[in-house]
Amino acid sequence: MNFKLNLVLNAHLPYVRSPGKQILFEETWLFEAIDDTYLPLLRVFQRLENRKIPFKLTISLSPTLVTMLADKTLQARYRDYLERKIELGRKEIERTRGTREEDLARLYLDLFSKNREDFNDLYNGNILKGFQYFQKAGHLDIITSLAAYPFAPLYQAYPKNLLGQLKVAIENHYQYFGQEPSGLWLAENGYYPGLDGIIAKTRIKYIFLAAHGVLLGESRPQHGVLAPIRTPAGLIGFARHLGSSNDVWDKDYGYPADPVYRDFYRDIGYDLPMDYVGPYLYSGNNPSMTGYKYFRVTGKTNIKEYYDPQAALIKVKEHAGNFLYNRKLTVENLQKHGHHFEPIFTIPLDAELLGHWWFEGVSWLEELFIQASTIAQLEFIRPSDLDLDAKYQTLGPIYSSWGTGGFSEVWLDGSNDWVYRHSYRALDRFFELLRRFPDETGRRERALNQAAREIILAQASDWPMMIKTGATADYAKSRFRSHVLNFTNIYESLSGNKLDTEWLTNLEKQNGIFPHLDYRIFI
Amino acid sequence: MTVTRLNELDDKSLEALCQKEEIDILPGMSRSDLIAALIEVYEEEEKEKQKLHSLIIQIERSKFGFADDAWTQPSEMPKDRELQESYEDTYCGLLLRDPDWAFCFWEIKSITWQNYAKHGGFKGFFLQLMENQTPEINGPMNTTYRIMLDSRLGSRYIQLPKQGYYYQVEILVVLATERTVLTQSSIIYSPPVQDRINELSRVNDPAYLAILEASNFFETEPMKRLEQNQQDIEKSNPYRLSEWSEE
Repeated sequence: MNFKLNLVLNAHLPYVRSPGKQILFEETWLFEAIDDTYLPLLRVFQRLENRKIPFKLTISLSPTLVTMLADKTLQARYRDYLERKIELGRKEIERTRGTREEDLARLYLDLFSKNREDFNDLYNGNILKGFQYFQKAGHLDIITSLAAYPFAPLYQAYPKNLLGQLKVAIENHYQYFGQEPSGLWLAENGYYPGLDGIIAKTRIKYIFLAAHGVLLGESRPQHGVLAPIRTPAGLIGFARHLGSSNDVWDKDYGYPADPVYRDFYRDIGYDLPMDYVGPYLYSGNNPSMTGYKYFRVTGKTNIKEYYDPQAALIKVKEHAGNFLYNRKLTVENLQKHGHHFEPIFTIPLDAELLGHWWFEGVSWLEELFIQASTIAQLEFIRPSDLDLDAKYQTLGPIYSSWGTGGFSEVWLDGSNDWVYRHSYRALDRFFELLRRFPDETGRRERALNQAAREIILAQASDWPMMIKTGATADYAKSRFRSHVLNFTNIYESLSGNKLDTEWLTNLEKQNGIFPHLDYRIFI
Repeated sequence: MTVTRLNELDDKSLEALCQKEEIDILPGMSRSDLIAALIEVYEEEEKEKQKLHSLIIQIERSKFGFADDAWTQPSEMPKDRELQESYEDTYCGLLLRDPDWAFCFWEIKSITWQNYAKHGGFKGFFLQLMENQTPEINGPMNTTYRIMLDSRLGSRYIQLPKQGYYYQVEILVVLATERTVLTQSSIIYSPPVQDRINELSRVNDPAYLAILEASNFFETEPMKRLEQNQQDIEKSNPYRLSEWSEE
């Protein structure tokens, strides 16, 4: 019995660009992801192509991420950031000379030097070209998500807002990739009945869903999560296969928890004195990550042992083999029970899991394709390889997400529920402005376009998630507050006809995402 | 905070702790009620912390660094301004948190609040939860319960009586025997998760059971929720609501 693996990597970061001259701490989130995930992933694709190993997968690049990756200022800052990281690496080799840490310092120095070479020479600063190349070569489906990554189920009261965010995302995607996306990644797999009808107003053909969204759907899914479904509005839905995800994601038993893999938390940014690492950090007087990490997971202990890259690579091969074996077992079990359809395992993963969190994750992915190439009955696919117009079981998925609890608990609880009063009021006021000013020009048009940017940025699901998890919660609160206040200022200025042009110009520089955005897209 | 420590505190300290934890102190609550409510909240917080140890959340956190004081205040943010506590408008919103709970917020314009409150037959402002089996916006919706509002501006979690129903919240004022709806929320739908789980749990066809097993149905989040003790779920609700009786 043949089977297919439908691997989906979701890459997203909130919009963190600043118009100032200095590198900001929050911008290092983007630079770390480029260093640890995006460039290493592109190298994996290149090696596979060179070796003629077949590989196919889908990658969702969120509009905020795409905009930042294409931004010349951020590209220049990443170059500076990388130079300093390389300088730190050279210092580390001197400091650790003759010790076990020296080889590990060299490993990172080589990685960052290779990143510099690829970033400057191969991509000329724009790594989107790399992804575009592999899309054109038939290896990747590049898809998008709603403009600033809102959690759609909590904004179902504003369908025009969701449609507007989708149109902004599609235009943005077209601008950078020269074609419209065929698929949509819903932030956190967040879905509610009716959302498909909004998406179906565009040329998006497929979406990804939480497993229980389909399993507990309006009718019983004939093949569970192992076949696409057609939603009532006609989209194709691929439900997440939990068994595949758990092999990687499970906190206790997932592959990244293996003791031989590199530990994410132990970093010289925390271990060494500030007068040594401080000049290479962007966190003021606070310790933070440098990327130089010398220890392995070891176990649930604070006493960590040195990382051994060779031992980790052996484990990578073992885990890639185990992943494929587990899928094969599932297929054999289905066969034993008389099933003869061709299962499709949909495996969505956060892209930043690979390389950033799980250092060896990109090697695991490479090894997965290498080992799969020797298995005749297995094929990796992109959704666009399927006949999306074919007949699939029609099924209405339920309100669902892949977050803890399976619904909206992460984005709506005692810590973050206060945001919705303000974002809802801002949306009410935004649509009031659209009714009052449906077709403006000049300064007023600029103000309305900026109002749309602020409204979009206020709805990013990153803010309630960061508030809930406590990861830079104060930053998230401040960002949310600033977008709502900026919007409110524009609303009041337009209402009172007292727009401050200088303030507006500065705001356009500060939050200049989607520079071609036309507010009428929301009408 | 243990029961022993809480028992050592005087009533004022207990009330202060309840306010800090945003526990509604209802008339007639005894000292032991307050301690029980606090313990429930602390247990819930502990469970929340444990939930956040999941890898998926750790990875999300890892994207955003850890230096909490290192970020920069957005420079163009209007200075000396906080988010408006009141928008001086009348509105309400209803958001589905999970199949059993929704979050509701509301505001009644202060002039409206004052004018009605002065009225001779004034009985109060109420938050009313409406339900329907069909999504028709203009169709008849049944009242489930009403809660008297003691503040013109607020928010709370409300328990949805049944899954598989459409819900809407109305804010209304009652004057003598006359009710006036001041504002309505949009309509949300609570998915019939329990019924669907029951249906799938009764499957005894080995071929379809193999499909469910291959789909890891028994490991999905709603199935994990079911493992929680029902009593535990009820205990964890700090906003238990009392039914409102008709005058």
